[in-house]
Amino acid sequence: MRRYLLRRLALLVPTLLGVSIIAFGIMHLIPGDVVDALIGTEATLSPEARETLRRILGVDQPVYRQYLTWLGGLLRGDFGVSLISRAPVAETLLRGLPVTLELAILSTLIALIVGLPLGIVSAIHRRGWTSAGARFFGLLGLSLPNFWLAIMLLLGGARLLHWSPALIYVPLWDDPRANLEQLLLPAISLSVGLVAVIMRMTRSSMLEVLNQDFIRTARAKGLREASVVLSHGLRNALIPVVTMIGIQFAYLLGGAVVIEQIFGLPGLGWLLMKGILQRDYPVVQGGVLFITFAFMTVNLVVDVVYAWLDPRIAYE
Amino acid sequence: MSDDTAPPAGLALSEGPQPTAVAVPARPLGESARRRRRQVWWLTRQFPLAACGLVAILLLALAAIFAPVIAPHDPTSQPGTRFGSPSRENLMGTDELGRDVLSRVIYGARASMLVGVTAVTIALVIGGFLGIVAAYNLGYPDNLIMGVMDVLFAFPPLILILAVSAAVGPSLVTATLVIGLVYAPRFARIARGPALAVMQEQYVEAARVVGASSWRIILRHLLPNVAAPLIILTSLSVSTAILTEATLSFLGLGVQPPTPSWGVMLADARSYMILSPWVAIFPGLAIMIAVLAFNLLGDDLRDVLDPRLRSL
Repeated sequence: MRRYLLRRLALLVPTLLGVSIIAFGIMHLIPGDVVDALIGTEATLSPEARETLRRILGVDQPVYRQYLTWLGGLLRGDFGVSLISRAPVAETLLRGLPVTLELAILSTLIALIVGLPLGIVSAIHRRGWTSAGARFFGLLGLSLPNFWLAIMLLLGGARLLHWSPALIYVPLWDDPRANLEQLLLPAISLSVGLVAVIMRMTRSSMLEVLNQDFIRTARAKGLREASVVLSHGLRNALIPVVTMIGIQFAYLLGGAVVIEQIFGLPGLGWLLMKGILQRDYPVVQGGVLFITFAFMTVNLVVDVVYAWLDPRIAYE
Repeated sequence: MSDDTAPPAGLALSEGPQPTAVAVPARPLGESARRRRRQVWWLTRQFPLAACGLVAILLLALAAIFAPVIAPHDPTSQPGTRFGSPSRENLMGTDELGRDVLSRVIYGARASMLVGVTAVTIALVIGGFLGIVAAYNLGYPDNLIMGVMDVLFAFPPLILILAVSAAVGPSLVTATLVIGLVYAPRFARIARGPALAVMQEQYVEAARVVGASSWRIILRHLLPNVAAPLIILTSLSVSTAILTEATLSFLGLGVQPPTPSWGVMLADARSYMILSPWVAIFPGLAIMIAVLAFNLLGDDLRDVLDPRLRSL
């Protein structure tokens, strides 16, 4: 187990290096440069001024040298500064992180509250129409474009309730009520796919567990059905569900771009999107690296938790 | 229990070794057609959701191919009334420029199906090929290929797609290539596993001893064994590819106007939907139906072809 862990940890380094090289390469493929984004479309610059500006920003260097400079800074814990706002990248990302994190936590909570009971019920009534219905609605949830759902929720709110969420972001600490009100619709939009995933996973895992011998034994010794299903069935069925939730949660960190865009939430996805459009290399590189790191770490933790929950699993 | 729970003759569903060549006595044509029909009927009864999905996919494909014939109006012309509510003339109403929403939704199927299917085909060919090659040439090539695939796999997919589209210049072709590239690693992974297992089999060793070429071993022995997982992943990936294309176009980094695309229609609709909800409702419904169709098919395919792949 320890060797396995060490190998996985050691793998983090080359992967992150590869990801950062790809991110760097792509960002430098983008035609046009940061100077255009910086000065806007109205102003024009003389070629000399443009060169000076490029030199100040450090984008006049060859790409590999820029990469090495950036990597050197990274090793010293310096993510660089945004080319547009001149704010440190680490600071910028740390400002976006709580927004995305809160959104991810809220939607995972909603998905759990809705998805788990649905999965359990559909596993108990596994024959006939309930089963087909559960499968159909599960797949429907997977197929619903979350940005369309977001638009429909906004539309419904505006047309039926004459209510729409504030477009200026309110941090949780400033005004918890306003903040939660604002995050409700985005969290619901993001959670629908997750509800479907959790429901399907719970259902198939429950079906497997409920077929086992120890469930028959529990029934045979006269336990109440609720106790059989919940404390014997569910507890064992939850293991794969937990791991699935972990992976999906990590995925939400980088996958909320569109929803953040629609609701004007200044999270990680929004920062990255803005960075891509403005050719703000350091922000994009830092963000991509951070999300990849989070994703891989969560995956590793999930694998370890899996082995801990289910002692039958051993990694070589 | 009627006999329609047992598969009709000639229909093999289980995995494992199949009799390859069975002498089939000549039959009159009518009987074989009838048998075929019975098979189709049995499959429909057994897998109603997949049947629905397949029908929807066929309808979408027809809509995409014959859009000029089916669409009641030109999707780009602006006949007059702006924001017309759904009426007999414009079943789904008209948009902010007076274009017929129904016609645009029908034409939009072209971009979605084209990008979805082509991108996944690219991913299937590249990923499947690399996965098999990696399994066949263990050691250095395997480590190199799977290492690159792992890096691509770890990159947040949507961000990678957005960044490359912005870098290369957003268009339908870019969207197709990028989605294909980003989806390739999962095909490589799913192909490598079973291919590795087959490489340990004695019949592969026997084939080698007899002097079969690498190509022959790959085509005759490895490919048939990775076909099932690849087929399942293909069907499920087309649905996510369609969703990704719509997302990309919605953000302005995919299909460019005036080409009708569901994602672009939704993006345009955001500013006007309070006044005319139909411009936002119908393109979204179209996306959902297309994605759902491939999911329905893929879900049943997985149950039939390889139930062990439930985690896909």
